[in-house]
Amino acid sequence: MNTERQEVGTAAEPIPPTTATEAPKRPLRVRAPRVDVTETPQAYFVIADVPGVPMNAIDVTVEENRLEFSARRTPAHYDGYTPALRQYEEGEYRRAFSMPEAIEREKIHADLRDGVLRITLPKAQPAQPHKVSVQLG
Amino acid sequence: MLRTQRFGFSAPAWSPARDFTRMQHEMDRFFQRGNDSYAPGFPPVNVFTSEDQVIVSAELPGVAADAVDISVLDDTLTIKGARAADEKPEGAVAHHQERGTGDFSRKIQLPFRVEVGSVDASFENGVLEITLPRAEVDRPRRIAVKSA
Repeated sequence: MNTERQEVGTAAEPIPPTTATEAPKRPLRVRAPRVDVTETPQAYFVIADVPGVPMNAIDVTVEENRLEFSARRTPAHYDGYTPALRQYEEGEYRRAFSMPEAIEREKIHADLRDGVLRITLPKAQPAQPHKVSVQLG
Repeated sequence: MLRTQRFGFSAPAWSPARDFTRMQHEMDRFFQRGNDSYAPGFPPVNVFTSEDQVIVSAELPGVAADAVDISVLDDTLTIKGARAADEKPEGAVAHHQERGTGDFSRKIQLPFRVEVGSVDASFENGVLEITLPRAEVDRPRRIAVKSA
């Protein structure tokens, strides 16, 4: 019950008709999006289902070898409609992964298409071992 | 617990054993999904109704618009389609495999019959939105009472 919205001292107002169209006033849930993560010797590939999110609402950060991404979704609202069935939540997507190997941060690439976020994280190349020929003699 | 990762938001280190268990759970869940209306099926839908219109929105990330088939018969909406698998890079090792692929079909019972010719659908960022107007024959009619 949200009693804070009632103003003190005013005359009793008639109860408004049930505003079933109003979305419930609860905090939006954070969803962990479903992902596929694959690895090659050169890079990690993270693919996440983030339906309903535009590119500018996606945030990808990489710190050391930890990838974190989040995406904020604006819930759909239809004036004059009553929610009849709700099987998915429109909140925030968020997930993080620690990669076993260091990431080349400058070369990270993210792409969003049809509600699918694809992040390519190239691995930092370790210093190439130098081959030194030693003359034995 | 496998689930703590979902909302607890820690950065898990990879563990092949745990990933395998998790994958198995996901697969079990995927195959248990039914196609009946009002059952937890795929795709998940949100439905909004007004007196003469229904809006059905479905989460279909990664599904091309031409891979979805929408049909309406009387008061039943059917969303059918397929989701293609992403091509894996050569020699790639999979650590997580949670996203499902393949065919899906879902029937949704609407609260009234629909004007099939006026159904409208849009697809943006992986969310399909279908607007279905109530059929003229199914609309409530106001009857004027003649006074003598």
